Amino acid sequence: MKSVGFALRALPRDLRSREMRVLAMALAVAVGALTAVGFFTDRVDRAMGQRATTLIGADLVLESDDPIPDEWVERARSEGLETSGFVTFPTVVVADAGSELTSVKAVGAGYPLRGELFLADSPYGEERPADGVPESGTVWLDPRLFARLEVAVGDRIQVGERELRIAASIAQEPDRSGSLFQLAPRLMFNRADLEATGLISEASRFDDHLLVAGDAGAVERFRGWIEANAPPGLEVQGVENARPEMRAALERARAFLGLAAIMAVILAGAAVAVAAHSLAAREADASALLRCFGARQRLVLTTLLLRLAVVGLLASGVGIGVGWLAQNGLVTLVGAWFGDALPPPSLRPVGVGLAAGLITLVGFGLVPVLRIRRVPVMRVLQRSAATPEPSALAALGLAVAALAVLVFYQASDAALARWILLGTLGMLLVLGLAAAGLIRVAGRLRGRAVSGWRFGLANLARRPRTSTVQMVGFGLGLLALLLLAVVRVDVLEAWRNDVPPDAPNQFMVNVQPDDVEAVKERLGDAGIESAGFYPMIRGRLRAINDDRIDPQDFAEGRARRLVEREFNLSWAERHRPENEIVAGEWWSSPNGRERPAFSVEEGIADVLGIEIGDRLTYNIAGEEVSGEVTNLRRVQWDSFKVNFFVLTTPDMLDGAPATWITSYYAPPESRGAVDALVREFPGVTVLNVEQILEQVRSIIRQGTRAVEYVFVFTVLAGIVVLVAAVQASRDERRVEIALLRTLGASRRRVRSILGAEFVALGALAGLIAASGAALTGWAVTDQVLNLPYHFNPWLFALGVGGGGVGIALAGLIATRSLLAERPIAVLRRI
Amino acid sequence: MGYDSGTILKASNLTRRVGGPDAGLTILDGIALEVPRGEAIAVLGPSGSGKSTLLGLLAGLDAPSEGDVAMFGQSLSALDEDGRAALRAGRVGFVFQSFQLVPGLSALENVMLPLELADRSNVVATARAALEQVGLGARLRHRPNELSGGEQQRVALARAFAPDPQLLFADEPTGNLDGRTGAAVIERLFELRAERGTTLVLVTHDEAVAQRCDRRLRMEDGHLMEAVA
Repeated sequence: MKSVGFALRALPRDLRSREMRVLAMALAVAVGALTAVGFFTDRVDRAMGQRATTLIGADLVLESDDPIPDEWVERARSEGLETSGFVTFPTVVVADAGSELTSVKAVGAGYPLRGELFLADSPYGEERPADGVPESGTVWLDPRLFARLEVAVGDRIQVGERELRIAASIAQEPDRSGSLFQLAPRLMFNRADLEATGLISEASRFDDHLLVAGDAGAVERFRGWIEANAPPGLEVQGVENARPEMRAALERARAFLGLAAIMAVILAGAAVAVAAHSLAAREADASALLRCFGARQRLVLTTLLLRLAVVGLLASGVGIGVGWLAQNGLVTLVGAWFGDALPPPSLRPVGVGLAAGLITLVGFGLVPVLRIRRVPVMRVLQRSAATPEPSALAALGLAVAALAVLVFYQASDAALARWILLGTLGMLLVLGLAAAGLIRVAGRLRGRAVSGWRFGLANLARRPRTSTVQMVGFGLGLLALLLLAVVRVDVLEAWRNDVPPDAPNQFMVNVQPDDVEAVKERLGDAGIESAGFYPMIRGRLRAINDDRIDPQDFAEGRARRLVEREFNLSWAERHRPENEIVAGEWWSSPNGRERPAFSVEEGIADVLGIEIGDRLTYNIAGEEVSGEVTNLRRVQWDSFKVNFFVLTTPDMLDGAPATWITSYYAPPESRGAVDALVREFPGVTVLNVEQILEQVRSIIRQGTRAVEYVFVFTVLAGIVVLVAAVQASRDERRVEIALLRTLGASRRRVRSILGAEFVALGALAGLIAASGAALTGWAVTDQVLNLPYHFNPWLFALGVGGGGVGIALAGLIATRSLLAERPIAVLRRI
Repeated sequence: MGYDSGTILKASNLTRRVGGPDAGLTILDGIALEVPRGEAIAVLGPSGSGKSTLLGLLAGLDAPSEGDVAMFGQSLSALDEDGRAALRAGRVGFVFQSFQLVPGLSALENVMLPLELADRSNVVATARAALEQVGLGARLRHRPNELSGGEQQRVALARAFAPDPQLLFADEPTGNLDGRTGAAVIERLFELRAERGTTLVLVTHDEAVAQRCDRRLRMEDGHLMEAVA
């Protein structure tokens, strides 16, 4: 208990101590970053999730080949959930001018439960939100149908046995999803009219949908119940398997936020380590004194640990407050981005923040502080009796363990967490080794240097350990700033460019082989550049390695559905660079005559359990073709280019009935030309993805701002590391400066010596930091976010130049008060 | 154990060797010393003669290469570092050349430190009385950097005597002070010692200070010999 008294008495002193302040600041920043991101991602996640729900029109959608039983609807309602539903099926509608294959959607009251449907009074006219669903007796049409059927709003068309009045043109349908290429133009009417059309019978093929929305917990409970009781044909679609391009954008946003917060924690951890190192050095005298007066080792250590715990708890409290304020301030911003008020934060981040604060403190601060145990008591008589340095291995080991806990919790993605850990470890090792090496070189060079530089470089070499710690600290701090100044911009730019302004906003499907050249020509005439024409052949997967496929063999709903339906296959001679080969190799003979082969998208391969070397058999128009899987591809679904799950060698599909598909960016002024093209080639279907594109862009915009916000903490942490590193050698410098002054060096001379040392430290640290930043930039962009990386040569100029000048300024400011001290007062204390 | 209640400190064959860059160096070579209770001894010698090393070994702050020290009849080599610390607590006082006050603590808190470590009662009152005794009753709340060198050493004196130790080690107590201030501090030290009958081991290179002690020993080439007055 004695230690508690000592620790509490030391508190006012601790609050004044530079080392404790730096340590507290670092912890507050780390906890602030984590709690702010905790609160913030929690709320943004939910808001983004809500956004994504608009893409499926609900929080959860059940899709079934059979009519949805009333029992399910009742179950959902008993959970307090809102429900709605619709039935979809293809049918041909007839008008005076002709007939057209359409995709019918008979919607029930309340549709959509999430998002909004937009209508126009004429095709491509001014959009307005729909007020409910089509009234009974009326129908809303896809704008393309107006041209094809030569009808206008107010006309009547025959749908099955019922005649319906055209009331509006559909401008935006929130949940227009599913496979883009299977969609005929939409025709929407009230579900109450469905029976009267006589289009649905026992034998006809249709999909019934139940939409569910409400409290997240209730949705999850309902989902759990339905998945436990689901019949084989049922597909449950939640937000997470909404459009793949949306999912990719959301996941990237989350990954970015997590990375930004983790970087802040890593940096803050480094600051804690450096500050704890300085603290232990500073406490060495007091500890020796206490031991001399009869204190046991344990008392000395417990007192210091308690003091650290008190400061750690206070700092974590401050951090939580800062985090809460930070996310609170964000509500105004984010509220505007998301359109509605964000859901309130839970209290969980408070507990997480406190725990994270203590983990950071123990993980990074414990080993440096533990060396206080080994302070020689003789130090009270002979100051030269040095305290043994802490084991670098133990310090690193504990820090990595603490980091692992925090990273695995924060990243919630084992692969990403592993990557971050290895990256950090590698970075620290490289920083440490490079720093030690550079310091050695600097020491050798001092003989050739002049005046202030000779002393400055000698100083660096004389304290290799402190200089290394300092340089690693400076390196990390500069790394954070470089990442923020350059890499962040580059990475976010790459993310933004991922969906460039001229990203394809329309797909054209069902182009007949004979029409391809003519369609290309028409598009060219309209000034539209196509992103390439690709053949598309429909085929059903029959066997994997000669095992006949039975949907019942697959437990997962998605897998079952995939093998039940027809695939869109395509053939390709060459590999498209935007499709990364993740396993195996692209076929070497372009036509594959000798060796028919398949290339499969990695996600679908995973779902169906397909591996390299497997033999696939497809049924294409009644004929079976087989080949070996020679590679797996990673497809960028958010590129809005035409992509296929399965590609084959060209010869395999030779003679199979193909239609062609393309995507392109059609500016608003060329819509007329596209309409004319559709009229000229009536078989062709144009799908507009402008709305999805806009949604993806909006997520990227919001995500970018959120990440920039969280990066503020990273920069703060970087600055704290720099402060900690400058402080690290303060006590040693105090004596050196006093000695130099006593020996007759003017203040100016001392300043030039210090300046030289700090410039050297800063420039060297900047060099290491620039390399680290380039590496991090590449790793984050290329490995984590799957975006193309571009090296920025400015990194090195900024790192070395900015590091040298910046650290020199910071160092001179930090040591200014030391220059003002009277040398005799300092030397007396030695 | 053979503790002669008249002998408070006894060193036998005390040897201290350190490894140098070229060869080992013997700082203390088989020193024998006996300090009776209540005696004041001065250890004289030029800088680097090993005075402070000897003081450290006698106080149990460091372990000898050979030989042993018995403090209050207890062999120090039989104790680990914690045991030696416990033996010192409240019974051994120190005055250092560089004062060694804890920078962030006030004068009063500095004096309280050894009292608390020795689990004494009335810690605050005792510490205050000790400071008043050295003439610093008005500066209780001042921190070391707000005190002059002489005042700091007086705080150190108060701290050393507050627990009423049986044995006091002083390492060049005037080394960092000017002549007059140093003399005043020495005056106060000997006053307090006389009042309490504290045994004193004083390391100094100042003959005048040494003259005030009962016995003077001189360190030379690692050996300790009686100094001729």
